[in-house]
Amino acid sequence: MTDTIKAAIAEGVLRLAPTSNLVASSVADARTEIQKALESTHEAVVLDLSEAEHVDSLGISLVVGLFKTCRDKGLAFSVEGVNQNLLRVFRLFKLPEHFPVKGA
Amino acid sequence: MKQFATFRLDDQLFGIEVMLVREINQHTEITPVPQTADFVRGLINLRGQIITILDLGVRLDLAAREIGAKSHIVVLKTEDELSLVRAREGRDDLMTGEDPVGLLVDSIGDVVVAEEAEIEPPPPNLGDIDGRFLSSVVELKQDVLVILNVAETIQENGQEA
Amino acid sequence: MSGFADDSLISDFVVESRENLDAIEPDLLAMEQEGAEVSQEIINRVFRAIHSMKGGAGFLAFESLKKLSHTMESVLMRVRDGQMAISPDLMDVLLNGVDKLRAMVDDIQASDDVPIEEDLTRLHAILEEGGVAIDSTIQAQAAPAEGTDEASSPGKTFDLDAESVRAALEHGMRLFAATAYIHQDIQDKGITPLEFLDNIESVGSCLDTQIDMDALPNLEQCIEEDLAFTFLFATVLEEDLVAMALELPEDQIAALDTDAVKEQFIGEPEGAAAQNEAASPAQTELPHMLGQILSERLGVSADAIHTALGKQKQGYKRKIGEILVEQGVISETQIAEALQIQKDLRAEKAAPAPVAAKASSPQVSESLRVRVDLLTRLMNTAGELVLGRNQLLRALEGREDVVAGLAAILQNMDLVTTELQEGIMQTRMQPIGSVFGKFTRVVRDMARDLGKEIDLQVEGSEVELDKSIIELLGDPLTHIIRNCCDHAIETPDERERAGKRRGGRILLRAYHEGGQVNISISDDGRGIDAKRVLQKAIEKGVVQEDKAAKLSERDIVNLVFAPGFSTAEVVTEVSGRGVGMDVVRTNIEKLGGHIEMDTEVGVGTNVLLRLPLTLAIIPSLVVGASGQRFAVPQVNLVELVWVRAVEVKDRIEQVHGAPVLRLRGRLLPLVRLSDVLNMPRAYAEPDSGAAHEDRREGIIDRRSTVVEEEGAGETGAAAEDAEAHAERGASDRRENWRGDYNILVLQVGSNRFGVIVDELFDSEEIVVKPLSALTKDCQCFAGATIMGDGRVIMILDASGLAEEAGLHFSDLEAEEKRRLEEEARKEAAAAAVRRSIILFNGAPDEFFAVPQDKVLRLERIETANIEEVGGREFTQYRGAGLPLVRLDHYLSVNPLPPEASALFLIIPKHVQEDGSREARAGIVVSNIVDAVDVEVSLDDSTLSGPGLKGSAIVQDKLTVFLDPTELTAAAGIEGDA
Repeated sequence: MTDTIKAAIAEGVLRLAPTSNLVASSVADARTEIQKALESTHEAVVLDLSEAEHVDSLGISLVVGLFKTCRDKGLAFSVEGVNQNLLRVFRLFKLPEHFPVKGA
Repeated sequence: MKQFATFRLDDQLFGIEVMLVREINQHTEITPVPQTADFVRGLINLRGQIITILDLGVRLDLAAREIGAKSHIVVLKTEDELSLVRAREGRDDLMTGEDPVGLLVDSIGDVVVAEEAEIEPPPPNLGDIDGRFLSSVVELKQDVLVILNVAETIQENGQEA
Repeated sequence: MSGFADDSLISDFVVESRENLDAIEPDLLAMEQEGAEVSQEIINRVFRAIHSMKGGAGFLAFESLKKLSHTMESVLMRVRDGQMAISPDLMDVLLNGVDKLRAMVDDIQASDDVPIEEDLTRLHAILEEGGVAIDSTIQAQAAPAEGTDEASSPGKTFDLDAESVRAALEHGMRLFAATAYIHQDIQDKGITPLEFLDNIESVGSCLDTQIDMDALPNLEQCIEEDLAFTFLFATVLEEDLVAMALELPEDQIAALDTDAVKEQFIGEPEGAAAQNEAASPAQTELPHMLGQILSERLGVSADAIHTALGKQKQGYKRKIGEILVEQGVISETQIAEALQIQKDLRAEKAAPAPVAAKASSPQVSESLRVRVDLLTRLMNTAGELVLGRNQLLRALEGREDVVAGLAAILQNMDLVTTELQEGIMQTRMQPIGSVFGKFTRVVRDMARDLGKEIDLQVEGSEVELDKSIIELLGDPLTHIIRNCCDHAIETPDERERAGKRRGGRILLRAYHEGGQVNISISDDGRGIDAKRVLQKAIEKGVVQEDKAAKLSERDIVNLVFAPGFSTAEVVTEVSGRGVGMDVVRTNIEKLGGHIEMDTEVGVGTNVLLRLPLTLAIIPSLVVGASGQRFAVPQVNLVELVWVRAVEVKDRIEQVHGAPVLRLRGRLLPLVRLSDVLNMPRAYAEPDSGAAHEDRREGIIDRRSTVVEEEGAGETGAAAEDAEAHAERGASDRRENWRGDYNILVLQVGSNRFGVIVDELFDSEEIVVKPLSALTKDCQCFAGATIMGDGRVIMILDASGLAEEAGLHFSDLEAEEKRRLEEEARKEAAAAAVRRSIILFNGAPDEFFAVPQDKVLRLERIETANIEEVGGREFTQYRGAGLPLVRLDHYLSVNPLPPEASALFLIIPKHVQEDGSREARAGIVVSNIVDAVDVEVSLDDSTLSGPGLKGSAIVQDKLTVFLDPTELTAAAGIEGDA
């Protein structure tokens, strides 16, 4: 597996950290890796975007999809390490109303 | 080949390239402007536009002109009017002034056509006339046609130039 | 994106942006001044202006302009929402931003070259200090109001902040609900969500957004399923342009009915809604309004209308009424009825709208942009028309009877021409506020730079002047005001020490006065020290030392307008360096205006500009001199004085060698136009054309009073000038043939002088034509004009004439003052010789007077009581014989009437050595007329005789004044005899 996503579990929290931008070219790989990581058991999922400077529309879709899946599974979901520009996009799409978004 | 509008001051024949001339008329009701340069003869009303008339005689250090039956005014084009001609003919050497100006002359002559080869550089001066007012000369059969440097002649501070 | 941005769009944008920027600056300054008290309206106005610039810049793809205005907008939004306090620092940043924006707009194609990094950094720093990110402010403020967006995504609701909506609507923006699919409309177009967001913000503002979470069930389908992003969006653009700008299909954008939203959110009254409608005439199709009418007046259910609207949006290119009829909801007659109601309602609203709009916001008035060069051309054409009219009137003068009704036609044409001309002149008039407006900023910035407190008060911004004057006024006024701030107003500490308020004040005021506009710039600063000005003027050779003594204080102060003069001891950065007040004066005089200065050390300075209302057409008086005609602008002409030849010696005199006209106590320097213009003094008689000569040498008759130069060694300018004058007079003896003088009294600033002309013609409206460079050097002329007969005549320039003639007003002021003092002195002296006299008759037609203080008593006696003893007459008086004196015995006067039965005695007072007074003789007179006080000077040249003092006219009678004591002595009646 490529390392598009770094996955780590600590104290029941699955920490997913894309190693680069979450954009069209990487979203498909990222999705596969995330799906795989989600197979293990944990209580919460944190998406750490510190390494992702850019998140394009597909990236947003991925985040939303991940959120929906976590909700369906009854897992807490949050996003961290969001840079200023990204924060604006997240806010535009009203994502913080659905799950916690923490800035970088 | 160039065409010159010609006119006389006393017996001397002068010429100005026709492209620089707007019109020639006998509008001699000239309003003097006191306390101004001596070669400014006054102002005329040319169809609503005020034209400054220069006494070419005074300008060229000849005598002031007496206005007689044959007196004419050679109205020159302004820079604005000339710019069209310049662009069309590609004649960047044509120069005049910003303001509408007319020259008071004793009488006018025919248009003279001269080949480039016939046009010669002017003498340093011609009698009392300062060479800077002259642009070139053309030898005619019975006359010498003196071509004026128009821009220099109508320049207001020409005295110091 | 700029595919549809053609040049005219750009030039419109530039024009609008300039207007916006001009409007922003005073508002920002008002915000700074009023701080937290500032009205929301002002903030909104600034916000709207910046916002619309941002919209335009984004639309036309001027990146830097967009970026800067966007960031400024963000800051202003915070301020508007009360999340950021107004501070001078904040205003500095914003004002600098405005400057940058202006620089960009001024050269729009190079706008991206203007460096804005620093501004952006400062703006961002402010935003960060403010804490809360901008986009969340709407959310934070979100009031639970609901706006239904039935058009593009039925069932969706937006959370809207009523304030944002109101702000957007008040700014004349339209609301749109738009849907973007993040794959199809964003990803596939190769742009990032961030860019898309920027895109939205660049053409308007996003009021709220929604994302349709349900469309994307889970992670598995996140790539395959498209996510719908819906946003409510306010912009000034119209629907099709929004679609183009956002690159969205038009069917994904729906315009919301502004009125409905407004009512729902703001509950605004109908009148205001109508006003908004009038303000955006592009919104003529208002389907909701018809829906509203249908539901309110015809009872059609809201659901049915919504359904129909939905259908319409989904591509039914039909009118809403048709859909409803099709669905059987209403009948065609009902639709017709509703349409009629709609029509009526609109007509109703349209009518009062412009007035309402005007009242609420001064920016909105019915106006049309017209190119200035077109107006200028119209003005010139109108000028020609006026000339044509004058020519026509002249040509037909006296021939009105030839064609029936011609007089009336001419009169009408005359009237219409005048009106037309005035109207066109009017179009070029602008309120001076457009110049005044910028000084608040200038003063504020300078005060901050200099560490001073300066309050600028502006009055008369509404006063209108011709556009060309307004434009040329900016620089000189700026210079004067900068001088005020820089040199005149002291630092707060200095002021305090001088016992003044810490804050200085500058009053900038425009007002009408006598057909002119005056602008005064006064400050309460340190004033100008005349002594220092004079010293400096002498140093710089502006004035010669020997002439300095003659200058009045006012003259000295006005030396600052002389070329090459600066009062600043230190030329500071802000004083404008070499550019001095002489440039100011030159510029003002070019406008046909005049400038002067008054100052008092420690109290302040007042600079007064007098300006003509318009430049181009002026009323003037045509005069003649040396056979040539000249036009004198009426604005300089105070009055006409006609001095007849016989009056010359009374009215005209010589002071310090120069002729002077005495006019109501004032002394006016007097020049002859022919002399000033150096023309021969020939005068052509109008009828014969024959030239006449006059043999008098100067203006002054030899009999005229001559005031000699005081101090023999003094050779001032006046004296030299007088010599020159005399020389000219002597060498050229041709003169006014009649000997009468027509004198124009001209005014330049506060100085008046007289100009002798040969002839006076009519008053005429003349079109001023500028002089060519060849003739400009004569300062005597303000231009030339073409008369009704086609001749060119020169227009005289009053101040140039005064200068050319070398008039010395201060000399005359001094002389005037001296005369006033002398008069006062004489009056005082006259009061001292005021005499109390007794008037009496000798022979009935002969009147005499004696001083009362020399008379002891007056007695009435009967002729019968006169006795003659030894050739002398006596009468009994207090028990003794009193010798009598008859006037005709000693003076060549007639005897008393012999038939009189009663006579009067005047008994002169004789004072003894011990101080007692006694009666020694009585002068016999026929009648005592009166005892009066008179002020007379006695003429002693014609009479002689004992006791005779002279004669004067008293009570209209020639009266001979006598000294009674001398008379009685002459009669041989001495004291102690």
